Amino acid sequence: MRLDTMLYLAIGVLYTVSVVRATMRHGIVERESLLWLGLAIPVLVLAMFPKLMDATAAWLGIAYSPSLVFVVCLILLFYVGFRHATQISRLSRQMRELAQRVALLEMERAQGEAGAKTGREEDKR
Amino acid sequence: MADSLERHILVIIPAYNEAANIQRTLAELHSDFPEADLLVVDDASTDGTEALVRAVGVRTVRHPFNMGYSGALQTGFKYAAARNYTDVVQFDADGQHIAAEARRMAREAAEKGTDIYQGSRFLTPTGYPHPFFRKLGTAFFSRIIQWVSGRRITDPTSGLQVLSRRAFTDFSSMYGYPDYPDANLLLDCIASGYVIEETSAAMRQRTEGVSMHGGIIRPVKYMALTLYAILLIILKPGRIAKHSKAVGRGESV
Repeated sequence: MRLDTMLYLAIGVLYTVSVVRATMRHGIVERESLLWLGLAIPVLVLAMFPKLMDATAAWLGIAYSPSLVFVVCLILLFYVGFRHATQISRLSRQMRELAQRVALLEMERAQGEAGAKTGREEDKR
Repeated sequence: MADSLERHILVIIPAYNEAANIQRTLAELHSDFPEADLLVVDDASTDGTEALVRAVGVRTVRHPFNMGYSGALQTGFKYAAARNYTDVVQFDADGQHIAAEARRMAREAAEKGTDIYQGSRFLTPTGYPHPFFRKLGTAFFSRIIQWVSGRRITDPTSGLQVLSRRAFTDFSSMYGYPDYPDANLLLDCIASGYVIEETSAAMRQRTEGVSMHGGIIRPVKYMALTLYAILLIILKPGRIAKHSKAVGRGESV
């Protein structure tokens, strides 16, 4: 096996092990970790097999075959970046909703306790 | 003796846009399973499900935003764990589950002392008309469970279950409670030494509304994610018990 192929294989194995371990420790959700593995592995396969890379590049009309790997990576990273943007947006909306409700609940609870002390109806409202 | 202890049963009914079915389901539970408390977990429905539940006087908790079926179940588990419930029944809102069957299962689960008592559509032929691809999927995961654990579970995706206090308390604090608590969760529980049994349970077919397993992409995603989750469990068994114990001790996970 060529030296660079072995290198990519080693990187691939290390990467997969890291992602799987992170998933088991709940550092990343299974859904996202599967996505990261699913995207990285085809790219690594292309990098590991130069003939496959050459053939695919030729078929797509790309003159310099390593560019194929770069192009594929960029497209996938754009996708992942956009996906993260939408996830962050959704999480922010949800956080805001929760924070507002918590704030109001804490106020109601404090008022309830204060109202219990003074016995006045308006303090409880 | 188990059957002389007083049982407090909570039926958890996750609901998302089940306005067409919910009142009928609740009426059936009220008449055929009267000794159980009911809790509808409204997963941020947009069709007025919550109001319909309140209208018939059943307790309901509404999520601030949609979290999915397993999120709704877990909310119910947290509710049950904080109170003195001894058993939890998972029951669907769409009318597929039969209240009398749930009642029978709750009684049997208490007698047998199981942690998870599942109602299976396939243990004995019940005439349930299963769509072909769903049948393939169920058989597939059934095989995997058998291969990994040696246990024979004929209906790993059944939503009709009775959980012991140990089970629902563990699930309530489980940080990684899965989006689809099916074959993967079962394997985790088997590895953790839970007592798991199946019983034959009759069920109806869905008449209204949308199933969560419809289409083509969703089943494929489901299978991929469940298989991946199972792989992770094979790599590290006993996670669930360790996990909820860690959470219970306030440790970061």
